[in-house]
Amino acid sequence: MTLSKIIAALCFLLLIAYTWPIVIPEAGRSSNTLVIYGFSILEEVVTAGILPAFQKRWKEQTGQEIRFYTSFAGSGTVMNQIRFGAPADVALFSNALDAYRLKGAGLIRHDWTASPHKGIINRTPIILIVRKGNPKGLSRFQDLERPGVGIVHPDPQTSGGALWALLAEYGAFDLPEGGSAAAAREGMLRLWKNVIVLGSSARAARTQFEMGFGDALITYEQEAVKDLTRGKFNHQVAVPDWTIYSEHPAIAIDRNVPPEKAPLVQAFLDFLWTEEAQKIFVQYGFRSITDERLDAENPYFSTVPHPFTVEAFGGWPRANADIVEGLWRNQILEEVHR
Amino acid sequence: MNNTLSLPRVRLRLPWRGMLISILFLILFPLLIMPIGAIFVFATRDGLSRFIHALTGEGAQFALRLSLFVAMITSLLNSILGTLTAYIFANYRFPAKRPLGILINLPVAIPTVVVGTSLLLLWGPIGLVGRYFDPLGFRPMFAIGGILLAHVFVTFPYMLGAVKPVLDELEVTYEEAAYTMGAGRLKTFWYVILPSLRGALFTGTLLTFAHSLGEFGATVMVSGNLRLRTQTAPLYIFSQFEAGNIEAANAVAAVLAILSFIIFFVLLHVTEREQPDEA
Amino acid sequence: MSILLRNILKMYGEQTVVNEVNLEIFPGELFVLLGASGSGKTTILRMIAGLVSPDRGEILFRDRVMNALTPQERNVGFVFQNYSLFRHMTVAENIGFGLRIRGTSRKERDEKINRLLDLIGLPGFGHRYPSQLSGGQQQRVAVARALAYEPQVLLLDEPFGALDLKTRMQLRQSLKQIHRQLGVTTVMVTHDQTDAFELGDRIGIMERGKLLATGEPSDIYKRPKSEYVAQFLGAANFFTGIMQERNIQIGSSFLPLPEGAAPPEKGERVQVLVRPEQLEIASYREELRGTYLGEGEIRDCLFIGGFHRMTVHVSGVVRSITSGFGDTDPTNLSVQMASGQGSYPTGQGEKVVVGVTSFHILPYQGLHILVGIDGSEHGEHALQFAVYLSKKTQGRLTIIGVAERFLEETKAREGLAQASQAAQKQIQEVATAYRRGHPAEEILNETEQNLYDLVILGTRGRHAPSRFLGSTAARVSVNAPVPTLLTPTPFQDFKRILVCISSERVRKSDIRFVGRIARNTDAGVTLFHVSPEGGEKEGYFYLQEVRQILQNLGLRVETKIAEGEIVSTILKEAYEGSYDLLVLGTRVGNLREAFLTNSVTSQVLSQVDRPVLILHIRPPM
Repeated sequence: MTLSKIIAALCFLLLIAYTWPIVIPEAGRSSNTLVIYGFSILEEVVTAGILPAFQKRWKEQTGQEIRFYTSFAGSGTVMNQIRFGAPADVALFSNALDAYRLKGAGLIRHDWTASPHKGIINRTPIILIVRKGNPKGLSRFQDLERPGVGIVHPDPQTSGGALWALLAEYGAFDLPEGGSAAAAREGMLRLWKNVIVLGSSARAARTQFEMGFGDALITYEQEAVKDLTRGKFNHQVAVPDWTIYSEHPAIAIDRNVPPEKAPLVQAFLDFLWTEEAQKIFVQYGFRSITDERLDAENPYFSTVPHPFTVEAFGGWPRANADIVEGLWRNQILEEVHR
Repeated sequence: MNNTLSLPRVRLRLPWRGMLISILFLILFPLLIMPIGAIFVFATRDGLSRFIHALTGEGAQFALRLSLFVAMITSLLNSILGTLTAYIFANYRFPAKRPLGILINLPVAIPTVVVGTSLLLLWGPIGLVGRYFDPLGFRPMFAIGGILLAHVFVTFPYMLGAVKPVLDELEVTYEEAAYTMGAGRLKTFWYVILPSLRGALFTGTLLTFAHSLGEFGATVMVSGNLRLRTQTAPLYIFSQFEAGNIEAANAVAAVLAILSFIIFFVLLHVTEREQPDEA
Repeated sequence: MSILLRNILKMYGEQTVVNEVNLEIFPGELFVLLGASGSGKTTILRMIAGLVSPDRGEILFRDRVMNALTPQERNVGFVFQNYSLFRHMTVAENIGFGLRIRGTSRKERDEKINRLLDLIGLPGFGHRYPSQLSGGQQQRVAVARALAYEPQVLLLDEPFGALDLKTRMQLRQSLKQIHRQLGVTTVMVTHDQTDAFELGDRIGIMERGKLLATGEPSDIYKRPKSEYVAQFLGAANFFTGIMQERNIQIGSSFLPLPEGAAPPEKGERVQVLVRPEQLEIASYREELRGTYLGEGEIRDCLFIGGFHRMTVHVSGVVRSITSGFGDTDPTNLSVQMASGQGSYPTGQGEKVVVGVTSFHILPYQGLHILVGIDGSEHGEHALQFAVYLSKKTQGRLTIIGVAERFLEETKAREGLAQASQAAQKQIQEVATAYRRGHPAEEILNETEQNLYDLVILGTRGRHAPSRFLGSTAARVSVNAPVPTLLTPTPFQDFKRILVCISSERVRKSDIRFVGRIARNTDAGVTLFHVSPEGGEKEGYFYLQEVRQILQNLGLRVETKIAEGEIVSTILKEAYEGSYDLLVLGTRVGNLREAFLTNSVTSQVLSQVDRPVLILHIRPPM
């Protein structure tokens, strides 16, 4: 009996000693912390590149230590978390739609489109990742209509990347010569019939593809470039001739930022458009928004013959209404589930 | 272990016995044993040093510590709450006692995700109650407080289920004996009732601890999944997996699995001690 | 430390668990409360301890009222039925618990514990846990634990409950020794008579919440005050005898009164108690040491350790139906002969003579009557009958009033008070009971809770609408455990009683009950049998039986037999013969069966205009 008691006591003490460091009083809302919520593919570049750089710069400039708290998930998830009170100071979305929603809910109170570059900090085109050797010869969205092709697609309900993918698909069918809305509808319908897996975020979809699902993954170019840079890419990139640039905004969440922190938040945002930050983005596979020439520094970028942006559809609110809700949710999703 | 099969029986049954046992193993193996084994295989696939490296990363360490911390505090809170509840139910009559008794066991039936969602809707900054507390600075959601709230809620029935039957079985005369000997209510509780609950409290604590360690559904909703702040071990595993860092995910998963085994075996040992094995 | 219980009353819901108990326990004595489960004895014990509060009454320890004190403050030692030793503490820690709470020093505690361990005969057991002890050992530890802090009173609740006979005997001895050594006032509660007799300096007998008797064991056993107490304590033979000069006549025998006993009045009827061991048998009359009672033969003989228990049939002697050795035939006596008492016949069927070596005269007990009033005229009549009978039999009266609805409450209480006052002018012992609820149910509950001999209710008789029998009167008379008297008419004393006999047998005790009433009211009894056309011999023979029973009670009985339709014949006879009381039988329990519209009793009841006494027909064997 006493031996077990001793062991139990030891375990207990060990436990306390191990978990003690947790019990640091929450720095929380102090002016030396910034809470960043971002969408999935930004996790590495932000935590490993941007934040340390900013910390260093801020220390040099003001002598202050900044602590960052981060959380990454699908863009839709991030938006909802913030809506339900996640204490984000800055949100890095995959598309402006999520920002519009938060604005509607009163969490964002300023017009970020007035900022330089309309608040966008970097961009990357939507491409296809296919198996090595591209056995099925997939290179354009039209190829994905073919029966027997398995597609891994992020889930438009939670992933920002999925929304970009939808627009890319639509544009590829509609915008070229001879294309039309009807063609887009037909094409996307056939394409979506081939979707075999939905990932909750672009990153998650990537993992599914890695696990061996599907023949093609529709995702950000950055996903491929990041691994190519590290020499760990076992697949192949196929860049459709017609595809969209996904452009990612960074926006301060006004409701969560107390007045005394506003300067820090602004400084952080400003930093994102500096050459230093843009270079970091390029290094990690994102294309610069401020200066195209910086893109040359990453040899793994592919040329996009016919790129377009969300402006081609009249901005996010309209694009969302017409394509995401109108076409995909109300028509395609119904059809595909039958 | 005594052999209850007499010799003739063994001879008769041998072929069937062997087959049945093999079938059992064939079913159990892929269902239970192999998945757990897979974790360890994957975790150490790139070598032990990478395993240690993944484990000692900042995020992993924080997640483990946080999970253990939360499990400890949850167990502590629940032992007090559970004992108090069991005591009140055993000794007092009050209106709506029976429906309340059923209600407090509800968390077992509710999916943990639902628990998390409802807590968020109640206590979040725009929640039914939270909206009044938020300006006062009381913000349990997306912080450790919220996690504790969720874990206490979800694991409460396990503690109660361990303590209440023992308390109920305690005859009234047990307490009365103490009263006649001069011990007041408080002293009786401390010297007589609590010690007799030792076993139950221990079991309850282990169960609560184990469930808290593995809690995902409610935690993912209320914690906000903030790295190095509110990311518990299960959340870390999930995050890392989604991000593609399989080794990191598996490393922490392996640690959780080992912890669970230890807890399980201790539980088994304790309960076996109280009821002699009939093997 | 003396303990005094004054007018203690405790009710659980509608049930009275402890009913006006008055008890005094002397300092230093070992008092045993003896009773069956549910008799209220444990509740009394717990009230002394303070674990339960009485609804009314006071508990005093040496003139100090303890009602408001908690168990902790009373300084009592309690030994529970299941010992309730603390399982997680050692024996020593258990025993020392009370001292620890009181802040005694460790050294002193240990000393005391060791002394107690010696006292209970378990030296060195301090380190063991209760689970390692046998039942008997646990019991002793429980006692030591209760004594450790030197309480002023030691209370034991069925302490020997779950133990085997041998352990019981040992523990009884131990307890007695401990008590003698320490001299603590001790109250023990048990259902085991041997416990009570062996341990009690005095004992008290409880039954259904009432304390029936207190006194030294031998006293109560040999000289009980009532039939009930007598049979409670053991097998008994009761006889009804008539006083003659200085002898009691039973049958054809005369028992001489012991020297110095004050003789009751000549001609008075007395109840005589003769215990089985107070009877003797022999082969010849000369061998008898006591008074010759009669001769008969051995029906049954059982050898029990040092005794022979026999049932002996004796002609010419009839005993009251109360417990013998399980025999209900009143012509069989229960006899116990000690094997060492010389030789005596033991074979079945052997012819023997029976003698009485000693006996005890029970104080006479009158009828305990329950009368229900409801504020109506008929209730008034019933009350008058009740007072009359109560007076004649020197018994007690309880008046019950039942309010059906809340509004009637005040009226009911008033009526009760008035009735009680009126009754008390003529008889001494009058009690009232007020109940709320359905009258029939409440009355039946009352008869179950307390011992009555007769229930009297007013009815509307033949002036009632045809369905009146669905009423209180009907339900009570069919379901009550004792006879019911229904009174549709104003009061008239009993001069002539008509007993209607059919072939269906009524309980013998009920027959005797009628006889008792007849005797006390000096009424003449006529047995009446109506045989259906064609003649039924069975009814005739039964008639003779009943006549014999009544004659044995010293009554003169007329018999009449008529033929014809039963109901009308009975009614005709009742009217023509100017009888004041009709006695009829009814089947027990089943209301519908008993009062099927074509049954004799219900028909008679609906047309009769004089009081009817309803007895219960025994279900066919």
